[in-house]
Amino acid sequence: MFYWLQKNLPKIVIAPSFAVILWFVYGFVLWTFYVSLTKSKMLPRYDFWGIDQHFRLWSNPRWYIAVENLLIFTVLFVIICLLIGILLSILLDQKIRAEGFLRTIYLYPMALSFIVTGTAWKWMLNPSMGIEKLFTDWGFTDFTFDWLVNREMSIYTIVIAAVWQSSGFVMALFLAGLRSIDDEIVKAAKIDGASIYSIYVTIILPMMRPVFMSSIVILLHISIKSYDLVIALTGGGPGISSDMPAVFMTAMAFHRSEIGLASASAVMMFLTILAIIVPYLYSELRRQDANA
Amino acid sequence: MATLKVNNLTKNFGKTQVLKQINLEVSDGEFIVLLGPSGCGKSTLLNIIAGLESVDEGEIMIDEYVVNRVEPKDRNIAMVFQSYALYPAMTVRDNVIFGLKQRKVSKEHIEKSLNHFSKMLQIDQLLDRKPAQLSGGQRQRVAMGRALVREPQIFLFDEPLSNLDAKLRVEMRHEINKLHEKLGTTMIYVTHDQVEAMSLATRIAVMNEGIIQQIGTPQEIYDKPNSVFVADFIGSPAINLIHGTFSTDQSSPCFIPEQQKENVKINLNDYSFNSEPKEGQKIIFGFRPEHISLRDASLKSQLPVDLKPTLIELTGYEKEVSFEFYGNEITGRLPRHMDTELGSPISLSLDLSEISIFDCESTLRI
Amino acid sequence: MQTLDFQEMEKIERSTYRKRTFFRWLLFLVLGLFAFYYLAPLYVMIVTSLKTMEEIRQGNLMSLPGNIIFDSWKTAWSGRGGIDAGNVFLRPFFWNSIKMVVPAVMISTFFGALNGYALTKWRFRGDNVVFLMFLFGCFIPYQAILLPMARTLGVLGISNSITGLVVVHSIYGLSFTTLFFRNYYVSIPDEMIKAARIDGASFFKIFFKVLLPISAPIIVVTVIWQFTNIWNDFLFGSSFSFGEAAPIQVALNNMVLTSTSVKEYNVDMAAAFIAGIPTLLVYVLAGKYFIRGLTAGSVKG
Repeated sequence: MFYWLQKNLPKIVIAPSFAVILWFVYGFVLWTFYVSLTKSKMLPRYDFWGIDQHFRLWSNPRWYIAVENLLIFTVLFVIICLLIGILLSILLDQKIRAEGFLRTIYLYPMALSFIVTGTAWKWMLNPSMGIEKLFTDWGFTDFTFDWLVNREMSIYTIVIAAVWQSSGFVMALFLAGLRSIDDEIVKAAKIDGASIYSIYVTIILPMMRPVFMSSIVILLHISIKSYDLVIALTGGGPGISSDMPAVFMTAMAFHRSEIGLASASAVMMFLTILAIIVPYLYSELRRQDANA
Repeated sequence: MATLKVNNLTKNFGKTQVLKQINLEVSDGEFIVLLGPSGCGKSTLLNIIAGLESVDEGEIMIDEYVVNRVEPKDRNIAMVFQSYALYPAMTVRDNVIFGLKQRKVSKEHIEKSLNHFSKMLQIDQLLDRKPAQLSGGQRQRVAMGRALVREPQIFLFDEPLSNLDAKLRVEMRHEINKLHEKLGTTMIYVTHDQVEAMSLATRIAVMNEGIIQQIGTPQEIYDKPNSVFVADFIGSPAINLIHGTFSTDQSSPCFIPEQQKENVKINLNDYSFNSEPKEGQKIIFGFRPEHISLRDASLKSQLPVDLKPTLIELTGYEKEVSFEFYGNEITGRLPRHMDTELGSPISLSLDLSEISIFDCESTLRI
Repeated sequence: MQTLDFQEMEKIERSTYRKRTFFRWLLFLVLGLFAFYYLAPLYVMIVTSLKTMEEIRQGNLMSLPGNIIFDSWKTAWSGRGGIDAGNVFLRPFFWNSIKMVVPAVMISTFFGALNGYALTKWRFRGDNVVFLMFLFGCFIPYQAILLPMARTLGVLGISNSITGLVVVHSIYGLSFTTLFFRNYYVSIPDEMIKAARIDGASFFKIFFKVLLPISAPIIVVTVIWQFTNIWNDFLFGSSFSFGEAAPIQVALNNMVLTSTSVKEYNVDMAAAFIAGIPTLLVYVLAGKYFIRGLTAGSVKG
């Protein structure tokens, strides 16, 4: 008995946590899956109804707006964050004296919550008193900047704030990647006569593929889950013009009493993330096996 | 073809001075090895010669031209690194010709050089592979190829063989030797391995704590080390060093070992002093293990000694035997077929024409 | 074989020198511009919070306040005194957040450490699968568990309470903390555990006496990560608590959204800044660990 206990102690120690994860992650996801196949409205009902909720979801114009916004947001957010992050990491890699200080500045937004970020940018983007007024005061009297209240443009204000918050993170990832590169490779390239530009473009950036991968996955992950920032900055408005799937889901679940529909949208989000994460984890693990 | 001169070079990293007033002259076609323990500044010196580190004081001259502020790429040098530093995302071919491409060399010439040198280094079968798919020895060859195709004036090697296993290391050492023979280019080679240094160099510069301790041919360095550090660093098993005092006995100089019960005086008549020490000066008496041998009365300037083995180690082709020698433990190299037994004395002699004497305080040769 | 040409070299030397100074200036210019870009919102936030509404209407985002007045900070923190519906202030919610963060961070960190230890130093069949299943918890969109969680909290009778939020954050932090500790312990040589076992130490003794004492860096990283995430959380807070049990981010959002007669931007900014201070402080004081957490969380597996 004692021996058995000794031998299985590691498993016993892990068991409670594992059970919690099994129930609260996997069990709950399955629950959500199932509810998305029922007629649940205000309260969950457990009689099977089929995939009608998913049909309802995909014929809901608001869902289309949310998905379209998500696409616009994701593409811009990922690309701009990568560009800024890579640029800054390369610039900071040039043996700058103030590197630590600048890095701190570039990354601090990451420590703030999306609600704080949203509140600050909401004020900056205020159509009459924010940046617009700043530029009129500076003499650009015709300058208008009303994206926050413009149905066509409101989604882009979310991009602006999100990039401000997350681009420093990409910088940190790439800087860590750059620092892990064998010093001698850069020396060899210098002696080979490569310019700084071609050292980065032809030698170093191709070596950073894993960092690209993780950055993109993390940025995608942030963008699909983005909820707080939308709520704080635009509240999904004006109207529903800057709606996103996560906002749609909570609106259906908590305000519209459409639990079935909300679950269907949550399932969509879940599947999207699954499609990104599973291949990523797979390739990560294979890479590590290859290294081991 | 090029010569290299280092004049009064000093380099600091923060507050620590890693190179102190280095002077070095390399003539055309020489193979200079910078040898020293890790942290002695030899790699820093090489990096400065390459232009990868800046100079704090002093000058680096290639062919009489001060290159202190010339970029590495404009110094017409090539370098082989310890980690090989191959570009992981490129094929072997692209790795090798990368430098030529940067220099906008004509396609025909690139093709010709690539063919020539990849055959020479036997990497012509590997050209389409990525570095990750190569063995250590192959990577080493590719790294050499990358340096060779450039046909530089000076080759720099930074511990190029350290990451190879023992057998490959010997093999590559031979290849580098042959290469130098064939090309006759000036080469500067950094290593901490004395065997590499002895077998490759035309001259060795032994470095320690940011200073060049001694420059000379391998033979000079081995036979006439100018300091205790050099004497001790070169040679395996290490040189025997015995502390004692200098004295003049009946007008001939002699050495009196410390810690002895007998009153032994070793006659130093056959040693040519740089400057004769004072009576009673503390000195160190050094001799290499191979200078202890079976007694042979016909040889001159021998000191006959009867020594008891305290430890016998067979290395295969000889025996390394430890003896008690006037209160010190010393090592001797004896032929393997010789009968030795722990505790039973052997009649040996010490060759006094091959000894080195150092001052105890300055640790320099006197 | 080319040789060095003196005049050519001199020309090269001069042009590289000129190029280098030019690029150096450009480099600092670009870096400076970006620093401005990242700092501007913080500057605006602070400056606005120190102005009166009158100054805000007259000046612009960048203009400095005439007198530095902390009135709006006071209002944001402890309200105006009156008990009207629109009078939301942060003080009680700030304490709510503290009461939520401290236990949740401690619980999730402790279990994460234990899991990481068991997973790396006492390998058992299927341990990799177990770890992968933990790992996946880092990625799930919480929308997929929001509804069942709300019902579960209801059943347990802890919905709309700080306790409920502690439970939720402890559970969903577990994946991250396990990942952190697992990755840290993987890099510690197994020989250390073997030596301790031969010396006769038990499972828990090894954990508490051998491993934990050398885990300080990863504990700091994990605590900072969990603290920042839980403090900054809005989704769980807004979904599982309303009114008095809300954490600070929810309160901040409510405060900004409450439409009293006049919008008080200075109070909004002061409130936003107050809500951001704890995490900013942690970031400034322990930035190194914060960054390490970010990168450790990204290089999964």
